[in-house]
Formats: sequence, C-alpha cells, structure tokens
Amino acid sequence: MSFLRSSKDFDLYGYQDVLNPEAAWDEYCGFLTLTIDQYLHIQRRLMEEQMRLWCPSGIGQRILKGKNPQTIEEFLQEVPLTTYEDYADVLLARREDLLPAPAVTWVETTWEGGKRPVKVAPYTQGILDSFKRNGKGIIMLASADDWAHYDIGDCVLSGLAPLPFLTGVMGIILDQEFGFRFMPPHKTTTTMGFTERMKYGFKMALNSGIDYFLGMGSISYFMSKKLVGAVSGGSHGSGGGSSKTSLRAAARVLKARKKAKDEGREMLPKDLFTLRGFICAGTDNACYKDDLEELWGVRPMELFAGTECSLVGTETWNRKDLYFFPDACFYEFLPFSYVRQTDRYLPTVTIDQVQPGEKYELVITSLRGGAFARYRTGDVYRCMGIGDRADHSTLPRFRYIDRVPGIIDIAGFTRITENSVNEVISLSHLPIKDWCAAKEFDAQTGHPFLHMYLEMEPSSMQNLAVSEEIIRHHLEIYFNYLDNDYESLKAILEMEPLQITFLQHGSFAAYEELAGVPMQRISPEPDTVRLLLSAMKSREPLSFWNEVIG
Amino acid sequence: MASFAFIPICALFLFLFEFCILIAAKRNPLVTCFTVMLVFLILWSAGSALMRIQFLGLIDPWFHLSLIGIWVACVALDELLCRFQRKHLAWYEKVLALVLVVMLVANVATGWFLAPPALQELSSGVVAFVYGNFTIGTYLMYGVFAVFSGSILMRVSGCVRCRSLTSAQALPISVGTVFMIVGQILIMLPPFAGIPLDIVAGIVFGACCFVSLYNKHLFPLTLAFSRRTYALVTLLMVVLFSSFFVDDLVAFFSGLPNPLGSNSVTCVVLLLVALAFSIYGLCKRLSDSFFLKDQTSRTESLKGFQEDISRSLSVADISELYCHQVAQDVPRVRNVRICLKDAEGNMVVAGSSIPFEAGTVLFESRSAVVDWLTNHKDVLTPAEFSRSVEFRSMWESEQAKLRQLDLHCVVPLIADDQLIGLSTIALKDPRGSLTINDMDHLLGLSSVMAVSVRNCQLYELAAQEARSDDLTGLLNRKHFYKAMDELSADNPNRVMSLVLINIDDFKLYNQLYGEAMADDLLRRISLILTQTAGEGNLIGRIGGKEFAILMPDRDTSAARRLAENLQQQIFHMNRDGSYDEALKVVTCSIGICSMPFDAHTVKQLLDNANLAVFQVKQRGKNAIMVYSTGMAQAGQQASEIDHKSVYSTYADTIYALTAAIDAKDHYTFTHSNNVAYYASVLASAYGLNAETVEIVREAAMLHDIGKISIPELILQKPGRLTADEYEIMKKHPENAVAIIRHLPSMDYVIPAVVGHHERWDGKGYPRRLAGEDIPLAARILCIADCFDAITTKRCYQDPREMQNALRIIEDGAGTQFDPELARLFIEKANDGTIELQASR
Repeated sequence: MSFLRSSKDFDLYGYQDVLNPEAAWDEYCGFLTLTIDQYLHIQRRLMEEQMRLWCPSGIGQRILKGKNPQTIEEFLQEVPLTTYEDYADVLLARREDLLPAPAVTWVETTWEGGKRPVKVAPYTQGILDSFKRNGKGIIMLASADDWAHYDIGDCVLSGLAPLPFLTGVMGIILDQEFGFRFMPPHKTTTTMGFTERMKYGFKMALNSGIDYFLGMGSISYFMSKKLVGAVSGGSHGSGGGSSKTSLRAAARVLKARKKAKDEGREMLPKDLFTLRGFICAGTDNACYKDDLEELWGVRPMELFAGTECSLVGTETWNRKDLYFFPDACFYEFLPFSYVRQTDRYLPTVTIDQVQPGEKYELVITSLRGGAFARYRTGDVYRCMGIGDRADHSTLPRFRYIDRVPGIIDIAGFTRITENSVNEVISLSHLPIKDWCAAKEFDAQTGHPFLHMYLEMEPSSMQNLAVSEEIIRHHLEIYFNYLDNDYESLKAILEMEPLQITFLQHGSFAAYEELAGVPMQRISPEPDTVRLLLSAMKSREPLSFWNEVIG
Repeated sequence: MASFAFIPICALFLFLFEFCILIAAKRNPLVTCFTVMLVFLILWSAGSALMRIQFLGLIDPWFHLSLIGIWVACVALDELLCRFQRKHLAWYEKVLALVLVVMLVANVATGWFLAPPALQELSSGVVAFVYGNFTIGTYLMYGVFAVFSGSILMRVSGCVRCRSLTSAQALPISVGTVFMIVGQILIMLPPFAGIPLDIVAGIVFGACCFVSLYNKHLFPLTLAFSRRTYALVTLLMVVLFSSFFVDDLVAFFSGLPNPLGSNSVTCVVLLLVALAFSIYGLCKRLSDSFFLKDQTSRTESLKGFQEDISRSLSVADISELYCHQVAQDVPRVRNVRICLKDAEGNMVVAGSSIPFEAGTVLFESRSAVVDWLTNHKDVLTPAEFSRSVEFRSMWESEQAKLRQLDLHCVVPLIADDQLIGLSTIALKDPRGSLTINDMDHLLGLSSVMAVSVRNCQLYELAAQEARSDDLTGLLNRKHFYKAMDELSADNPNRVMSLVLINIDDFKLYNQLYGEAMADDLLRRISLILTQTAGEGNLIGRIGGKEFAILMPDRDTSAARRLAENLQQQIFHMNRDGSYDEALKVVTCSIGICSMPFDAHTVKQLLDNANLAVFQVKQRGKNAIMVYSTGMAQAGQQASEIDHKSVYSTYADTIYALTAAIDAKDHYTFTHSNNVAYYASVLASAYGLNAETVEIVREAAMLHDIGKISIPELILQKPGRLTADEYEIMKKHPENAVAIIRHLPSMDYVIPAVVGHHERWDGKGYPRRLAGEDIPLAARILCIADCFDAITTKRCYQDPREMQNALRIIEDGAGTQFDPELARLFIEKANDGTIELQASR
C-alpha cells in the first residue's frame, strides 16, 4: 500500500482488506467530525490552490478584468458573483485552452431550453477524485444504521441517467470504485430508452435481489410504482434485455405476494427486496420521501449535487439534514433577502458564519481546477442548526428548500424561467395578454406541478376556442419543443405537469393598481397569487391588502 | 489426574494466558468485549477445576461459579459476534440474555434448573461428575440455551456469509463457536457422561477467538512474550507436574536414607522450585531465541547505529549512515531519503539512496505532509494520512508529487519537540506495507538520527559563529587571516589580490546617528561586498570599520575594478532613494596589493594594502590606491604633515546661508548665533573633540535655515499659531535638510539639524525618535535652541529670567531633553561657563 492509491485498490473487498471497516469509515465519513476550524482549513487551503489555477487562466482573466487578488479575502471582494452567462461562451464552445486545468470529461444539464438548451461543465481529474471519495462516503452513510455500523452490499438498482448527465458520472464512479453490480449495467444500456432500461433493471433485480436503489426522488417513486404494477400484474417476464426470469425470481414474487396477502394489502417493493441503502438526488425529494419509505421500508438518504458544483453534500444515516463536503467546493451563502437581486457584488457569508434558521442561496467556487468562481447555483438551503450529536458532528446542517424564485424546477426535470415561458407563449401564438407561473403541490399526493395563471386577450375571445385543456395542450406542445426534459416529465413520470387557471380580464391591471407593483411573473408568493385571483372581485382593495399583509 | 481436573486447569491457564496478552493490548471495542468474555471463561474453567479437585471439600459453589461463567460467557460471545458484524444485539437476544441471568440467580438459590453433579467412579477408576436428575427446570434452561445457541449460530452464519467482512477474519471465531456449542451438547449425551468435553471445546474456542482477533491486527504477537505469560506457563507446568507426580516423589524421597528421607516434603518443594526456575528460564530463552530474535537484533542494530553516528559531526555522513542502516534492517525497502528543514521550513534532501537527489526540495514548508508531521509528530502511513484533515486539503501538485514518490511511510525527525526533518521510505513491493515492528524500528532510528543531526547543526552553528563576525556575518579577523594563510600555504606562488576597504569618518557617523545606525551601515556595506565580490573570494571584517576581500587567482587590475565598483555603490548607498536621505554620504578609502607582484608573504600583502589605505587617508580620503614600491617611504613623510580640518573650508558657505536667514528674519539669525554659542559650549563641556564641537556649532548656525521657506506672516506672528500654521512651522527641519542636502560637503550637519525638535520621550518631530536614537548633536541643539527661545524676546512673548529658563530645562530633563545634557547645561550655566546671550 502506498499514498494515493489508484482506483483499483479500492474495489469493495480490496480496500477492506487494506483498511479495516472502522478505518474506511473514518477515511470517507470522518469529515462529519471535523471541527469548523479544520473544515475551514481544508476549504481555504484548497481555495488557495484554486486561486493559483483560476486567476491566471483565460476564463479567470475574463471575469477578473485585470484584477489580481492575492488572498482569499481579496478574491471574495474582487470577483463578482457569477452566473452561467459569464462562462457560456467559453464552456459551450468547450474552449479547453481557457480553463484552469484540463477537463477529463464534460457534464451536461438543461439550462433554459429554447435558445439556451444546455449547460456544460468541465470536470477535472481533481474534481473526479473528490467525487470518488465523497461518493464512497455516501455509500457508507447510506448503508449505516449508526456511527461506523455499516454493511456494504453490491447489487444496485439504478434509476440514474447515463452520461453526459451528472448521474452518469455517479454511476460510473460507483461501478469502478466499489465494483457494484448495476442493474441494468451502465455499459450495456447507454443505447436503451428509459422504459427499456427500467424493465431490464427490474428483471435483473428480481433474479438476484438488490442492496441499493439509486435515483432521483421523482424517478425512484415512479419506478417503484411501475415495479409494483409490473410484478402484481405478472408482466415481469416481458420486456427487453437478455436477462431471463429464473425460478429465484418466481420464488421471490410468490413470497412477496404471500406476505402482502397476509398483511391484507397490495404488494410493495419492500416485500420483494430488503435494501441496505436507498439514495436519492434531485429537487422535490421531500414530496416523495414518505411514499418511498412506505414502498421500500427504507427512508431514502438524500445527496446533493449539481452539474456546476459536482457532489457537494449528503445526509447521514439519520436522514435528517445535509452536511457539505469540505473538499468539493468553496462555499459562500447569499442571504435569502438578496436572492432576487442580480447585483454582481452582494454580501455573502462563509460556512462558519451561517445562522441557524436562515435561508441562503448557495454560491460556490469550484476547487481543484474547476471553472466556476463565486457561482450562484440557484439552490436555496436553510441552515437547520450547528452540529448534531446524533451525527457526531459540530458542523452546520442544512436542508434543501428549492430553486431560487426565478427558476421553476419540477421534480428535478425542468428549469422553467420567465424567458422560457415567454418563448413558449410567443411560439404558440395564443392570445395571452398576461400571465404568471408558480410551482405548486398537489393537495392529495403532495407532488409538484407548474401552475400558470393566464389572462387572455379580450379581443380574440370571440374567434377562439378556449378551454383549459386546449390551452394546456397547446402550451405543452411548445414546452416539449423547447425542453426535452419537459417531455420526460410526462413520458417517464407519467404526470400532468401543467395546470391552467384563467383569470378574469383585467386581473393583472387590477392587481397592479391594488398592490402598486406589477405582478411577478415567476414564482410569486402564494399570498400574491391569492391577491391576483381576487383582485377583480375586491371592491375594497385597501382593506383586503391590509388583511393579506396584516 | 483424577476426575479430569487437568482439563479445566489447562483451559484456565489458556484463558489466563490470553487475558494477560489482551490486557496489555490497545483498547478497542472488540478487544474489550473479548476481554470481558475471557473473564467469564476464566470463572467457568476455574470453577470447573476447583469442583473437580473438590477444593475445600466443596462442590456446589464451584459448580455454580462454573455455570455462571459459561452462561455469561455465551452472552459475551453473542456481543462479540455483533461487534464483528458491526451491529447491535437484537431485542430478543437481550431478552434471552436477561432470562438466562435470572435463571442463574434462581439456580444458585434453589438448584431447580440444574442441580450440581454427582460424583461417580468410572470403570477406569477415574472419578467423574455426572449430571442426573434432570427436572423440567433443566429442560427449560437448556431450551433457553438452545434458542440462544440458535441465535448465535445465525450470527456466525451471518459473519461468514456477509461479504462486507473478510471471511478470513470471521472464520476462526465461527469455527470456535460451533465447537463450543457442540461441546455443550455432547456433555449431555450418555456416552460422554462425566468427561468435560465442554471444556475441551472451550479450549478450542478460546484459541479460535484469539486467532480471529490476531487476524484483525488488534494486538501484536510480541505481547505474548512477557514476564506475566512466562510466569503463567511456569505455574501451569508446575501445577500439572505436581498433580501427577507429587505423591510418587514424596514416597520416593521418604524411601531414601536420612536426612533426605526425614525431609521428603522439603525435598519435593525444593525440587518444584528448581523446576519452576528452570521452566521460566527456558521459556524466556526459547522466546528470545525464536520469537524475539528479530527484536533483539534490531535493538543491537540501533545501538550500533547510535555508536556509528556519534563518531561523526557531518550531517551528510549521518544521513548516509541512516540510509544504509534502514536498507540493511528492512530489506524490503526500495529507497530511503533524509530531508532536513531549511531556514524557510522547506524539507531539503540531505541524504538519499537515490543518486543526485541531495539538495533538492522534497516538500515545501506548507505542504500537507509537513503540516501533518508537525501536528502529529508520529510515523505517517498512507492509511493514517488518508483519514486526516491535511489529506483532504492537499493540492493537485502535492498529490502528483506524492504519487510520483510512491512512499509507504514518512518518519518524522523530532528534536526538542520540534520537527527538524523527515525520512521517507518506499518499499520494493508497491502494494506492500510496513509492519508495526518495522515502524517502531524506523522511529527508533530516526529518533537517534534526529538527536545527532541537531547536535551537528548546533556544532556547525557554533563553528560558524566562531568563524564569523556577529554583526555582518562575514569572516572575522582571526579566521580571515587563517584563511589567507591556508590559501597561501597551498600554493605560495599563487596570484592573489587583497582589497582593504576602510570607511571614512566612521566615528563621526557613529556620533551623528548613534550606534544602531552605524551598525546598520556596516551591515549594508557587508551586503554590498557579499553581493558584488561574488563566489570564490574571501570577505572579512578585520576591524571596526575595515573590511577585506582576498581574491585568489585575481590580479591587481581585477582587484581595482572591483574596488571601483564597491566605492561607487558605497558612495550612493544613502542617496539611491531606498534609504533615509537625511543620512550623510559614506565614502571609503581603499588600498590594494597583489601577490606575488608586490608582496611575497601574506603578512607583507596585508601590510602593503594597509599602507595603501594609509596613503589614501593622508591624501584626503575617498580614493583607491594600489600599493607600489616606494609608497612606504612616502607614507612616512605624509604622516608628519599636520592635518588641517577640512570643515573650516565650509565657513563661507555657512555664512552665506545664515545671511540669507538674516535677510528674511533677523530674529532667526540672532537666535542661530546664540544657539551656536550655547551648543558649542555644551558640546565642549560634554567632552566632545574639537572637530565634533565645530560640527555642532555649524549645525546650530544652520538649524533654522529651513525657516527661509516659512511665510513671514507665520514667522513673525505675534499671537499663538493655528494648528495649520503650526503644521507648516513644523516642516522647517525637513526644509533645512532639503537645502543642505544639495551641499554634499556639508551633509555632516544634517543629523543635528533634522533632529533638533526631537524629544527624549519620543513625542517630538519630524521622525519621533526617542532617547539615544536621537543624534547627540541634535540633543545638544535641542537644549540650546530651547534655552535661547525662552531667554530672548520673541514676537509673541517677552524674555524670561535665566533661572526661570534653567528651571524649565530642568523640568524637561528626561521628557523633552537628554537628562544628562540638561543637567550639564544647568551646571555650566550656574557656574558661569555658559553666559546669557543678549537679544540683538
């Protein structure tokens, strides 16, 4: 054994021969026990390296515009807060000559659809190394029921999208590092569609059992529903793939059916499989966690990742709050009161300065040669407290809240902005006079959907067939056209992501008169929406407004 | 031995043996759990043995002790298996454990669950303990035991099948557990009635558990070789021997003639004691020969290494010895390096088994590895390092370097609780690792090495200090002459040039600016010499203000070029904008002589160069002179000429400047004359030589010349100055310097002029100097200036009485004025030496 072992040393059994399980736990999950000073030492030291790489690089020089910060404090003062627009021309053209360090791979995600369909981010070897290390920590934490009490399995049912998406990197790294048996295998399924992959994975799982289930919360939920449906309906033998249903699978199904029958309920995945760990990612997981726990008997452990920031945090075996990895990014937190502002220089706090109970937008600077500096991720977190004895940690704990108000993300699939909705409306040629859109949650299922409030053009009403369904279909055609992921919402998750509410003519004008400000188009507050809905009805706007704010 | 008592005795000793080892091992949940289990196994075997020998004629208490031991040991075993699986006891296991404990307590009180066994003589004549009279309680108890055993067996199965644990570690304990359960079942079967097969199984079980823990590297095997374990083995052997043979031996000795026959018991006791000593000695010898051979040889190697390096005072030699020793003691080592911390904290290779590495920086001062070693001061292994904060904060460049080095271990060199260096070890097998013994040995070697290196460093430092001048770091006089002699002795015909550099007016500089500034001047000149003279030349400070450069293989011409360069640099050192321009220009007189052209010996070389310097001094300083034949005679003549003070030549200039003041402000002119009088009298009274007194006088004449640039409205304002006006007024010392600095020949008055408003307590202006940092002449001017200001009529105040003024001087002694000078001034004023000058 020597320092900085190659990845082959870390296969599931190899590394445990070298390190005993407690030592392996300390190595990968020991970051939880860091003091805040030790945590900051890691952050600042890696940041120093990043400054040396980023500042002289082409991409750094374009943003610094001749400035030359020498210390981290100077860096935080002189570098403006950035968004993807600041990097788009370099990164979308994949100009490796302007990057701080060579890119080993490029990861892709949806941007806004339409004119700006995708974002790409370069991943350096250093970023991948941190990803591997932290990925191992996540697997151990997901397999644990207490501090250093864990038991790692090897069969994984995967709902992860393949490369070039970030989840593809996750899958490949876990495959390489742990020697996991993925169902379906990554290498054989890159050409398969989602449904085909899902069926193939189910069949393999029924044959051999599974230890882990990995996927986005929303996808995991719908996969689980599908699994139950397929097995209950006896269709588990159909579908693509080469795996054949074995006697073991049949016995597993029979045993599960009996168990479900004994308990007088329909069969659930937990009757078929006993999971060691369940890991989910993406937005809106909170909506699905309870259902998933009910389905699988194991509460999902959430990890936090993004294309630009890579793998940044994880929950622990307690499945309560999130801790940020110290070596993934340099973290700053923009207080929520500034989140709607687009100024380039807004006050941020570092991780040792966050206040329990406060909400913040996460601002990251990539480490290990990454491209992004002081990048506004658009993700809002709430600091839940400092330290938790149950997690053996004294570090700040966070909980993911949602995307920033300017972006509507439905189940981790879409990035709907004011621009993209305007483009959809423009393409649709529908006589929509004014509109606003908000993410809302179904009262029964708790699942998210996009709710559009539309005020139609009064002059066109006599010549136009207008119904909620017609307009919804019409708009969806263009949402699909601009954003493939929107289509996936329907195709993969089989959900109706759009609801339409027509407003009385003059509602927006009435609102503006009432509130004194124009209606916010994207993510207005629920109270604001209520005021909009009642703006025309109310003859006493002042008293109503007082009621709302009072 | 009757009733199979030897079996529980053997078991007891085995468990005690293991207990002795584990008690010395590092604490760990597994070790603790196993130790607790051993305690109950000891109770079990001890109880069984005591029962079988019917110790104190009793059976029942020993039986209950034995029963409690085995049942509780089973619970501890379940917990041990849980720990192996890193899981917790299930709720039903906890319930079962509780039920068992309750049953045991009840059984001690009633005997209802399992009654003590009955004695029965077997056909072979051996007395056996046979369990009979089984009641419902017995079956209940064994039922609970069966459930508990089932639970344990399930855990065993889980341990073996679980892919997350290495089966090699889990297998022995699993096999042992199966043996244990089988043994417990067998004793209930009639064919094995009375034979303690459960205890036999217990012996197997104890050994298996031990192997499992050893496989997990929870303790080193060397713990088995201690005095405790030798004593235990000895005791066991003696007990077994006496159990089987003591009666026969007593009978044998009784049959011998007296006195042996009458003291047969004593003879047997003595024999047993002799046997015990022999066995103990044998154990120790065997373990030393077979098991501790490696350790012993390493101890000797360490001793040898210590002796070897104690003979050397060279770091390079010691490093080489260390590398050699490590390679010899740990044959699996591929390469070894020794790095020592340099002045910047970087780890520089001092010795390496890899060629051409010496002198390179292996780790920079801020490297994660150095950070770790500084914080932990322990051997750094990859496993340890990868769990550290420092590892997580490693830079890509550091990671690349570590990958390239492919190290297996880094050993710190600690001396005086400080990290002074490190040693890196790489093994031949890239996947190999060092054993604990290897690391202990390396740590031992490095500790010895560190002490030795520190001694070498201290020696080198002391030698360096002895060779060099404290102030400048250049060679001192003694070692410069010694080096000259050595160079000359190597080759008497070698061409060498000597350049002697003597600072002009250094004493004056010292008086003007104080000792600290003068020392600083010498340091800066030595830096110029070092940077300019370059490699290959010897540079020394051979006198208070004299430097020497010996240039081997360089002729007169090269020496002259160097001297000219140095003269220029020294002349401009206070005028290049990088330093305080209020300081006077520094000049030097340089003499050069070369061998073998103008001298045949080193002494002659030195004398002739000195003579050249003397000639320069005679001719007005600030020049370079190369020694030539005949100069000696000329020098003698020159020394006879009375040297006229150069300063008198500046009188015209001073008069012209003071006249300029007079034209603008007559008061200032009169004031300057008065101050010149008071200052020169005070300087004389203080014991300064005539030359310096003259400087003080001239400085006093010019001290307010800066007021030329102050508006007349301010100069002659009758009332109090405003803050802004005062700020303008405060600039006059600097204005004076700005005027005088354009007259290089008069720059010697600058320190006094610029400093005459400085205060002894540091609250003056412009430089806020304090105490003796204020030039002496400035301190004198300060008193004279103040005294005259008080005693003459000003536009804003009337003159005061002399005594009044002297009281003010006295009050200001130690705050505004130099206390010694103030006292002297008052004394001289009171005795009439200083007379009051009238306002004119």
